[in-house]
Amino acid sequence: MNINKEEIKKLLEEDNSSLIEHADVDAFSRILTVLGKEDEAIPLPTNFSESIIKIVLKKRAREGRWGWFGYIAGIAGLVIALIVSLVLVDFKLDFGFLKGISSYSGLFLFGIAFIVILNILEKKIIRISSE
Amino acid sequence: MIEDQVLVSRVLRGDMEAFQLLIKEHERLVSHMVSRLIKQREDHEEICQDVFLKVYDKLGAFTFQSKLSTWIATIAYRHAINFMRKKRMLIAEVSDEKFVERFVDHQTPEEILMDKDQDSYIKSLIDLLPPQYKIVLTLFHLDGMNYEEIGEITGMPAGTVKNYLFRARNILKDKIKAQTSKEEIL
Repeated sequence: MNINKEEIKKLLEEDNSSLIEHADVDAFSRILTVLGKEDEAIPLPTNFSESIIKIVLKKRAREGRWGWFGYIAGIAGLVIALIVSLVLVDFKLDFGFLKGISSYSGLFLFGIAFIVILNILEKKIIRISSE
Repeated sequence: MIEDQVLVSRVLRGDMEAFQLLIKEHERLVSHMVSRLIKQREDHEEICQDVFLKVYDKLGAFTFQSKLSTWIATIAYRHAINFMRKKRMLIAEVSDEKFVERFVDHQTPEEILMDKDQDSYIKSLIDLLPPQYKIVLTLFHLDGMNYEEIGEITGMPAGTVKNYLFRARNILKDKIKAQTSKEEIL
């Protein structure tokens, strides 16, 4: 029994009473024969995959350029906003607050030494133990 | 053949060779899906290209709940249907009550000239069916998919797929029978 007849048999098993007629079996057999054959798809060019890769790469490069453009535009916007706000509030640079602690040179040295020690500790102990 | 999961993760990491492999593995499937719905050669390649570009864009959202091929076929089917709608192509509606009557009784000049015993005649009848019927018929009989897989691709419940399959086969059978009886009378 070929595949088409098996299909028709399956339909009969599904209580498809209309199949009982001989003409129906014949018609179904022809339909199933045609449906079982590979249909002819419109052929794609041999370099089809390459052409898609080219499009994807072009799109990626375009998106990359837009990414850089956005990044630079963002930084430029920030700088402009900073300048505008400085002008608007009439900001004047004044280091007067440092005058008050200028006599505490020991405090500065302690601060620098503290940061250096912390860095050494982090490199020598904390990183090694976490690895 | 590389496993779907490995292939997808390589593509997601930006490996273009892997994407090319994915295209090569699925271009036949996509081409067939599109060809079954759209017969215009000039649009075919562009639609297939758009399908793969969509696959590339959406691949990150693929959750492996189905086979990769089923997921790609879903995109191809929906893209082709949307294209048909956008181009206002004549789509015979399944819900059209008079469709079956018209389909069985009406005879185009090409049909009159065509040898009714030839496979090409039945093929042309299949082409005249509403796309939902056509796609269900070919996916079931040619690609050997089950109701659930076809339902996933077309977005129809499995029961509807079964019903469409039954109705599509019966419409074709009635048409062939009607033709055969006409020929016998002549």
